[in-house]
Amino acid sequence: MSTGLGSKIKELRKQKKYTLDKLAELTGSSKSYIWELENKSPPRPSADKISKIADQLGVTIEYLLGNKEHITVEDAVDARFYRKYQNMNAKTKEKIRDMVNIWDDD
Amino acid sequence: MMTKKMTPHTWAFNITGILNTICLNSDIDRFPVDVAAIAKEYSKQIDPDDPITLVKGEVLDNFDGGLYKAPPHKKGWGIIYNNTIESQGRINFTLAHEFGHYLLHRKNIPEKIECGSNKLIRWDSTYGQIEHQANVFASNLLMPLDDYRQQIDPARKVNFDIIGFCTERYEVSLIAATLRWIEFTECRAAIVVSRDGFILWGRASDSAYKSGIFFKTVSQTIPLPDGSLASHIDLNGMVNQRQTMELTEKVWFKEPCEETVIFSENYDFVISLLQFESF
Repeated sequence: MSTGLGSKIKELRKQKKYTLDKLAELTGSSKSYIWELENKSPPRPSADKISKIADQLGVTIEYLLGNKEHITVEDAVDARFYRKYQNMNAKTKEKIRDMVNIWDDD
Repeated sequence: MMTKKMTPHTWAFNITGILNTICLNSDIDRFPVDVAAIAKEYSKQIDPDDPITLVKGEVLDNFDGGLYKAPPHKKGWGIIYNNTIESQGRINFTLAHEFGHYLLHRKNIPEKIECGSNKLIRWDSTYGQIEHQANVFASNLLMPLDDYRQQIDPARKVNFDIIGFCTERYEVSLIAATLRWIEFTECRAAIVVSRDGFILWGRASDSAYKSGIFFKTVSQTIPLPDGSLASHIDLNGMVNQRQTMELTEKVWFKEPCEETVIFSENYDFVISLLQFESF
Protein backbone atom coordinates (compact mmCIF):
# COMPACT_ATOMS: atom_id res chain seq x y z
CA MET A 1 0.00 0.00 0.00
CA SER A 2 1.54 3.29 -0.96
CA THR A 3 1.61 6.12 1.56
CA GLY A 4 0.55 9.68 0.98
CA LEU A 5 4.22 10.40 0.42
CA GLY A 6 4.50 7.74 -2.28
CA SER A 7 1.37 8.85 -4.11
CA LYS A 8 2.53 12.46 -4.08
CA ILE A 9 5.98 11.69 -5.43
CA LYS A 10 4.54 9.52 -8.15
CA GLU A 11 1.92 12.05 -9.18
CA LEU A 12 4.42 14.90 -9.34
CA ARG A 13 6.96 12.75 -11.16
CA LYS A 14 4.37 11.85 -13.80
CA GLN A 15 3.33 15.48 -14.14
CA LYS A 16 6.92 16.37 -14.89
CA LYS A 17 7.14 13.37 -17.22
CA TYR A 18 10.15 12.03 -15.39
CA THR A 19 10.90 8.32 -15.52
CA LEU A 20 12.09 6.60 -12.34
CA ASP A 21 15.57 6.65 -13.84
CA LYS A 22 15.41 10.37 -14.49
CA LEU A 23 14.26 11.32 -10.99
CA ALA A 24 16.85 8.97 -9.51
CA GLU A 25 19.58 10.62 -11.56
CA LEU A 26 18.45 14.14 -10.64
CA THR A 27 18.36 13.37 -6.93
CA GLY A 28 21.39 11.12 -6.62
CA SER A 29 19.24 8.19 -5.53
CA SER A 30 18.97 4.73 -6.98
CA LYS A 31 16.02 3.87 -9.19
CA SER A 32 14.93 1.18 -6.74
CA TYR A 33 14.96 3.66 -3.85
CA ILE A 34 12.58 6.01 -5.68
CA TRP A 35 10.37 3.03 -6.51
CA GLU A 36 10.34 1.97 -2.85
CA LEU A 37 9.29 5.46 -1.79
CA GLU A 38 6.45 5.39 -4.28
CA ASN A 39 5.26 1.86 -3.64
CA LYS A 40 6.47 0.40 -0.37
CA SER A 41 6.35 3.09 2.30
CA PRO A 42 9.81 2.63 3.89
CA PRO A 43 9.54 3.51 7.58
CA ARG A 44 12.28 6.16 7.74
CA PRO A 45 12.91 7.83 4.42
CA SER A 46 16.18 9.75 4.34
CA ALA A 47 15.60 13.46 5.03
CA ASP A 48 18.41 14.38 2.71
CA LYS A 49 16.94 12.44 -0.18
CA ILE A 50 13.41 13.65 0.44
CA SER A 51 14.75 17.18 0.40
CA LYS A 52 16.43 16.63 -2.99
CA ILE A 53 13.30 14.99 -4.36
CA ALA A 54 11.13 17.87 -3.16
CA ASP A 55 13.53 20.30 -4.88
CA GLN A 56 13.38 18.49 -8.18
CA LEU A 57 9.62 18.15 -8.06
CA GLY A 58 9.20 21.81 -7.21
CA VAL A 59 7.45 21.35 -3.86
CA THR A 60 8.36 21.67 -0.20
CA ILE A 61 9.34 18.83 2.11
CA GLU A 62 6.34 19.72 4.24
CA TYR A 63 4.07 19.18 1.31
CA LEU A 64 5.57 15.78 0.55
CA LEU A 65 5.54 14.55 4.13
CA GLY A 66 2.31 16.33 5.06
CA ASN A 67 0.31 15.05 7.98
CA LYS A 68 -1.93 12.80 5.96
CA GLU A 69 0.75 10.23 5.61
CA HIS A 70 -0.71 7.96 8.24
CA ILE A 71 -4.17 7.17 9.46
CA THR A 72 -4.80 9.29 12.50
CA VAL A 73 -6.54 7.99 15.59
CA GLU A 74 -9.39 10.32 14.82
CA ASP A 75 -9.79 8.75 11.39
CA ALA A 76 -9.55 5.30 12.85
CA VAL A 77 -12.45 5.71 15.24
CA ASP A 78 -14.55 7.46 12.66
CA ALA A 79 -14.87 4.33 10.55
CA ARG A 80 -14.55 1.10 12.41
CA PHE A 81 -13.27 -0.58 9.33
CA TYR A 82 -12.38 0.90 6.05
CA ARG A 83 -10.39 0.53 2.94
CA LYS A 84 -8.19 3.28 1.63
CA TYR A 85 -9.64 5.62 4.20
CA GLN A 86 -6.38 7.41 4.81
CA ASN A 87 -6.36 8.91 1.34
CA MET A 88 -9.93 10.09 1.51
CA ASN A 89 -10.61 13.73 0.90
CA ALA A 90 -12.73 15.91 3.17
CA LYS A 91 -15.69 15.87 0.81
CA THR A 92 -15.87 12.07 0.76
CA LYS A 93 -15.51 11.93 4.51
CA GLU A 94 -18.34 14.37 4.99
CA LYS A 95 -20.56 12.52 2.54
CA ILE A 96 -20.04 9.28 4.45
CA ARG A 97 -20.84 10.99 7.77
CA ASP A 98 -24.08 12.22 6.23
CA MET A 99 -24.92 8.76 4.94
CA VAL A 100 -24.33 7.30 8.40
CA ASN A 101 -26.49 9.96 10.07
CA ILE A 102 -29.36 9.53 7.65
CA TRP A 103 -29.06 5.70 7.56
CA ASP A 104 -31.42 5.37 4.67
CA ASP A 105 -32.16 1.66 4.99
CA ASP A 106 -35.13 -0.02 3.39
CA MET B 1 -25.57 -17.11 18.25
CA MET B 2 -22.76 -19.37 17.29
CA THR B 3 -20.38 -20.06 20.10
CA LYS B 4 -17.50 -22.01 18.61
CA LYS B 5 -14.51 -20.09 17.32
CA MET B 6 -15.36 -19.04 13.80
CA THR B 7 -12.63 -18.44 11.23
CA PRO B 8 -12.91 -16.72 7.85
CA HIS B 9 -13.10 -20.19 6.28
CA THR B 10 -15.83 -21.54 8.57
CA TRP B 11 -18.01 -18.46 8.14
CA ALA B 12 -17.72 -18.70 4.36
CA PHE B 13 -18.24 -22.45 4.46
CA ASN B 14 -21.46 -22.11 6.47
CA ILE B 15 -22.90 -19.50 4.15
CA THR B 16 -21.81 -21.48 1.08
CA GLY B 17 -23.70 -24.52 2.41
CA ILE B 18 -26.86 -22.48 2.92
CA LEU B 19 -26.61 -20.92 -0.55
CA ASN B 20 -26.03 -24.31 -2.17
CA THR B 21 -29.19 -25.65 -0.54
CA ILE B 22 -31.31 -22.62 -1.36
CA CYS B 23 -30.22 -22.48 -4.99
CA LEU B 24 -30.63 -26.20 -5.50
CA ASN B 25 -34.29 -25.90 -4.59
CA SER B 26 -35.11 -22.75 -6.48
CA ASP B 27 -34.37 -21.05 -9.76
CA ILE B 28 -32.10 -18.48 -8.14
CA ASP B 29 -28.68 -18.33 -9.81
CA ARG B 30 -25.97 -19.66 -7.53
CA PHE B 31 -23.36 -17.24 -8.94
CA PRO B 32 -22.38 -14.51 -8.71
CA VAL B 33 -23.09 -14.28 -5.00
CA ASP B 34 -25.46 -11.41 -4.18
CA VAL B 35 -23.43 -10.15 -1.25
CA ALA B 36 -25.67 -7.23 -0.30
CA ALA B 37 -28.81 -9.38 0.02
CA ILE B 38 -27.01 -12.19 1.80
CA ALA B 39 -25.22 -9.91 4.23
CA LYS B 40 -28.53 -8.40 5.36
CA GLU B 41 -30.44 -11.66 5.55
CA TYR B 42 -27.74 -13.78 7.12
CA SER B 43 -26.77 -11.18 9.74
CA LYS B 44 -30.45 -10.92 10.72
CA GLN B 45 -30.51 -14.67 11.30
CA ILE B 46 -27.35 -14.90 13.39
CA ASP B 47 -27.68 -11.68 15.37
CA PRO B 48 -31.19 -10.16 15.15
CA ASP B 49 -30.27 -7.37 17.55
CA ASP B 50 -27.18 -6.27 15.67
CA PRO B 51 -27.60 -7.06 11.95
CA ILE B 52 -26.43 -5.33 8.79
CA THR B 53 -29.28 -2.96 8.02
CA LEU B 54 -27.71 -0.81 5.32
CA VAL B 55 -25.72 -1.57 2.17
CA LYS B 56 -25.39 1.60 0.18
CA GLY B 57 -23.26 2.86 -2.68
CA GLU B 58 -22.46 6.47 -3.46
CA VAL B 59 -19.97 8.55 -5.39
CA LEU B 60 -17.12 8.41 -2.89
CA ASP B 61 -13.77 9.41 -4.34
CA ASN B 62 -10.64 7.69 -3.09
CA PHE B 63 -12.62 5.14 -1.18
CA ASP B 64 -13.52 1.50 -1.66
CA GLY B 65 -15.86 0.76 1.20
CA GLY B 66 -16.25 0.62 4.96
CA LEU B 67 -18.30 -0.95 7.74
CA TYR B 68 -20.07 1.55 9.96
CA LYS B 69 -21.97 1.36 13.20
CA ALA B 70 -25.52 2.67 12.87
CA PRO B 71 -26.34 6.00 14.57
CA PRO B 72 -28.12 5.80 17.95
CA HIS B 73 -31.65 5.93 16.50
CA LYS B 74 -31.01 2.94 14.19
CA LYS B 75 -29.70 -0.50 14.89
CA GLY B 76 -26.92 -2.63 13.56
CA TRP B 77 -24.23 -1.96 11.00
CA GLY B 78 -23.94 -0.67 7.48
CA ILE B 79 -21.67 -1.21 4.51
CA ILE B 80 -21.03 1.98 2.61
CA TYR B 81 -19.12 1.72 -0.66
CA ASN B 82 -18.01 3.64 -3.70
CA ASN B 83 -20.32 2.70 -6.57
CA THR B 84 -18.30 4.53 -9.20
CA ILE B 85 -15.44 2.06 -9.23
CA GLU B 86 -15.42 0.76 -12.77
CA SER B 87 -14.88 -2.87 -11.95
CA GLN B 88 -18.05 -4.50 -10.64
CA GLY B 89 -15.80 -7.34 -9.57
CA ARG B 90 -13.89 -5.11 -7.23
CA ILE B 91 -17.10 -3.69 -5.76
CA ASN B 92 -18.36 -7.19 -5.14
CA PHE B 93 -15.13 -8.15 -3.43
CA THR B 94 -15.27 -5.01 -1.29
CA LEU B 95 -18.82 -5.82 -0.15
CA ALA B 96 -17.78 -9.37 0.74
CA HIS B 97 -14.70 -8.03 2.51
CA GLU B 98 -16.76 -5.65 4.66
CA PHE B 99 -19.29 -8.40 5.37
CA GLY B 100 -16.27 -10.41 6.54
CA HIS B 101 -15.32 -7.63 8.95
CA TYR B 102 -18.85 -7.67 10.32
CA LEU B 103 -18.75 -11.41 10.96
CA LEU B 104 -15.20 -11.63 12.24
CA HIS B 105 -14.33 -8.35 13.90
CA ARG B 106 -17.31 -6.28 14.92
CA LYS B 107 -17.29 -7.54 18.48
CA ASN B 108 -13.63 -7.30 19.35
CA ILE B 109 -11.71 -4.94 17.15
CA PRO B 110 -13.20 -1.55 18.10
CA GLU B 111 -11.83 -1.94 21.62
CA LYS B 112 -8.45 -2.79 20.23
CA ILE B 113 -8.20 0.32 18.10
CA GLU B 114 -7.28 2.55 20.94
CA CYS B 115 -3.57 3.10 20.70
CA GLY B 116 -2.20 6.47 19.75
CA SER B 117 -0.47 7.34 16.55
CA ASN B 118 2.89 6.80 18.22
CA LYS B 119 2.06 3.13 18.37
CA LEU B 120 1.22 3.00 14.75
CA ILE B 121 3.37 0.00 13.97
CA ARG B 122 1.56 -2.29 16.34
CA TRP B 123 -1.74 -0.96 15.18
CA ASP B 124 -0.68 -1.43 11.60
CA SER B 125 0.06 -5.07 12.14
CA THR B 126 -3.36 -5.67 13.69
CA TYR B 127 -4.75 -3.82 10.73
CA GLY B 128 -2.85 -6.07 8.34
CA GLN B 129 -4.14 -9.16 10.06
CA ILE B 130 -7.79 -8.20 10.07
CA GLU B 131 -7.57 -7.07 6.46
CA HIS B 132 -6.13 -10.42 5.50
CA GLN B 133 -8.89 -12.29 7.33
CA ALA B 134 -11.59 -10.25 5.60
CA ASN B 135 -9.99 -10.99 2.23
CA VAL B 136 -9.83 -14.71 2.93
CA PHE B 137 -13.50 -14.67 3.84
CA ALA B 138 -14.42 -12.73 0.69
CA SER B 139 -12.45 -15.04 -1.56
CA ASN B 140 -14.00 -18.16 0.00
CA LEU B 141 -17.51 -16.75 -0.13
CA LEU B 142 -17.37 -15.52 -3.73
CA MET B 143 -15.34 -18.40 -5.18
CA PRO B 144 -16.00 -21.67 -3.33
CA LEU B 145 -13.31 -24.16 -4.24
CA ASP B 146 -15.67 -27.04 -4.99
CA ASP B 147 -17.28 -24.99 -7.73
CA TYR B 148 -14.05 -23.45 -8.99
CA ARG B 149 -12.46 -26.90 -9.32
CA GLN B 150 -15.34 -27.89 -11.56
CA GLN B 151 -14.69 -24.88 -13.77
CA ILE B 152 -10.96 -25.49 -14.08
CA ASP B 153 -9.40 -28.89 -13.68
CA PRO B 154 -6.61 -28.47 -11.10
CA ALA B 155 -4.22 -30.36 -13.35
CA ARG B 156 -4.90 -28.14 -16.33
CA LYS B 157 -2.74 -25.32 -17.64
CA VAL B 158 -4.70 -22.08 -17.97
CA ASN B 159 -4.71 -18.76 -19.75
CA PHE B 160 -6.38 -15.47 -18.95
CA ASP B 161 -9.35 -16.39 -21.17
CA ILE B 162 -10.22 -19.33 -18.96
CA ILE B 163 -9.68 -17.36 -15.77
CA GLY B 164 -11.57 -14.47 -17.40
CA PHE B 165 -14.57 -16.75 -17.78
CA CYS B 166 -14.44 -17.38 -14.03
CA THR B 167 -14.18 -13.67 -13.25
CA GLU B 168 -17.56 -13.30 -14.93
CA ARG B 169 -19.04 -16.31 -13.23
CA TYR B 170 -18.04 -15.09 -9.77
CA GLU B 171 -18.01 -11.38 -10.58
CA VAL B 172 -14.56 -10.76 -9.19
CA SER B 173 -11.44 -9.08 -10.55
CA LEU B 174 -8.91 -10.94 -12.64
CA ILE B 175 -6.41 -10.77 -9.80
CA ALA B 176 -8.84 -12.19 -7.24
CA ALA B 177 -9.79 -15.04 -9.58
CA THR B 178 -6.15 -15.77 -10.45
CA LEU B 179 -5.11 -15.81 -6.80
CA ARG B 180 -7.90 -18.20 -5.98
CA TRP B 181 -6.87 -20.47 -8.85
CA ILE B 182 -3.25 -20.37 -7.60
CA GLU B 183 -4.53 -21.76 -4.29
CA PHE B 184 -5.86 -24.98 -5.76
CA THR B 185 -4.01 -25.64 -8.99
CA GLU B 186 -1.72 -28.65 -9.03
CA CYS B 187 0.38 -27.03 -11.76
CA ARG B 188 3.57 -25.15 -11.04
CA ALA B 189 2.45 -21.60 -11.57
CA ALA B 190 2.84 -18.12 -10.12
CA ILE B 191 1.30 -14.71 -10.43
CA VAL B 192 3.58 -11.66 -10.34
CA VAL B 193 2.22 -8.14 -10.06
CA SER B 194 4.64 -5.39 -11.02
CA ARG B 195 4.76 -1.65 -11.54
CA ASP B 196 7.37 0.48 -13.29
CA GLY B 197 9.73 -2.46 -13.69
CA PHE B 198 9.71 -3.72 -10.08
CA ILE B 199 7.74 -6.51 -8.44
CA LEU B 200 4.99 -5.36 -6.08
CA TRP B 201 4.19 -8.89 -4.95
CA GLY B 202 4.03 -12.43 -6.20
CA ARG B 203 2.29 -15.63 -5.21
CA ALA B 204 3.19 -19.17 -6.24
CA SER B 205 1.07 -22.30 -6.26
CA ASP B 206 1.88 -24.96 -3.67
CA SER B 207 3.77 -27.17 -6.06
CA ALA B 208 5.70 -24.20 -7.45
CA TYR B 209 6.54 -22.95 -3.96
CA LYS B 210 7.86 -26.35 -2.95
CA SER B 211 10.18 -26.31 -5.93
CA GLY B 212 11.72 -23.01 -4.85
CA ILE B 213 9.56 -20.52 -6.70
CA PHE B 214 8.79 -17.61 -4.42
CA PHE B 215 9.41 -13.90 -4.08
CA LYS B 216 10.74 -12.09 -1.03
CA THR B 217 9.13 -8.79 -1.84
CA VAL B 218 8.64 -7.67 1.75
CA SER B 219 12.32 -7.54 2.61
CA GLN B 220 13.66 -6.76 -0.85
CA THR B 221 12.90 -4.62 -3.83
CA ILE B 222 13.14 -6.93 -6.81
CA PRO B 223 13.33 -5.67 -10.38
CA LEU B 224 11.61 -7.65 -13.11
CA PRO B 225 14.15 -9.99 -14.66
CA ASP B 226 15.72 -8.88 -17.94
CA GLY B 227 14.12 -10.74 -20.76
CA SER B 228 10.79 -11.17 -19.02
CA LEU B 229 7.78 -10.18 -21.08
CA ALA B 230 6.54 -7.79 -18.39
CA SER B 231 9.86 -5.91 -18.43
CA HIS B 232 9.82 -4.99 -22.09
CA ILE B 233 6.27 -4.78 -23.36
CA ASP B 234 4.99 -1.45 -24.58
CA LEU B 235 2.29 -0.70 -22.05
CA ASN B 236 0.72 2.11 -24.04
CA GLY B 237 -0.26 -0.27 -26.79
CA MET B 238 -1.74 -2.99 -24.67
CA VAL B 239 -4.22 -1.72 -22.13
CA ASN B 240 -6.24 -4.73 -21.02
CA GLN B 241 -4.70 -6.73 -23.86
CA ARG B 242 -2.77 -9.89 -23.19
CA GLN B 243 0.42 -11.25 -24.63
CA THR B 244 2.06 -14.60 -24.16
CA MET B 245 5.62 -15.67 -24.67
CA GLU B 246 7.63 -18.81 -24.14
CA LEU B 247 10.75 -17.95 -22.18
CA THR B 248 14.03 -19.75 -21.88
CA GLU B 249 15.57 -20.99 -18.67
CA LYS B 250 17.57 -17.85 -18.01
CA VAL B 251 14.69 -15.52 -17.24
CA TRP B 252 12.41 -16.53 -14.34
CA PHE B 253 13.92 -18.84 -11.73
CA LYS B 254 16.44 -20.32 -14.12
CA GLU B 255 13.97 -22.58 -15.81
CA PRO B 256 11.84 -22.26 -18.91
CA CYS B 257 8.30 -21.02 -18.50
CA GLU B 258 5.40 -19.48 -20.30
CA GLU B 259 4.66 -15.90 -19.30
CA THR B 260 1.34 -14.28 -20.08
CA VAL B 261 1.01 -10.60 -19.36
CA ILE B 262 -1.92 -8.28 -18.97
CA PHE B 263 -1.72 -4.58 -18.17
CA SER B 264 -4.38 -3.02 -15.99
CA GLU B 265 -4.49 0.68 -16.70
CA ASN B 266 -6.97 1.43 -13.93
CA TYR B 267 -4.64 0.19 -11.28
CA ASP B 268 -1.41 0.91 -13.04
CA PHE B 269 0.13 -2.51 -12.75
CA VAL B 270 1.15 -5.42 -14.89
CA ILE B 271 0.03 -8.93 -14.07
CA SER B 272 2.27 -11.78 -15.20
CA LEU B 273 1.06 -15.34 -15.09
CA LEU B 274 4.00 -17.73 -15.07
CA GLN B 275 3.48 -21.39 -15.85
CA PHE B 276 6.38 -23.79 -15.47
CA GLU B 277 6.76 -27.29 -16.76
CA SER B 278 5.51 -30.07 -14.53
CA PHE B 279 8.06 -32.30 -12.92
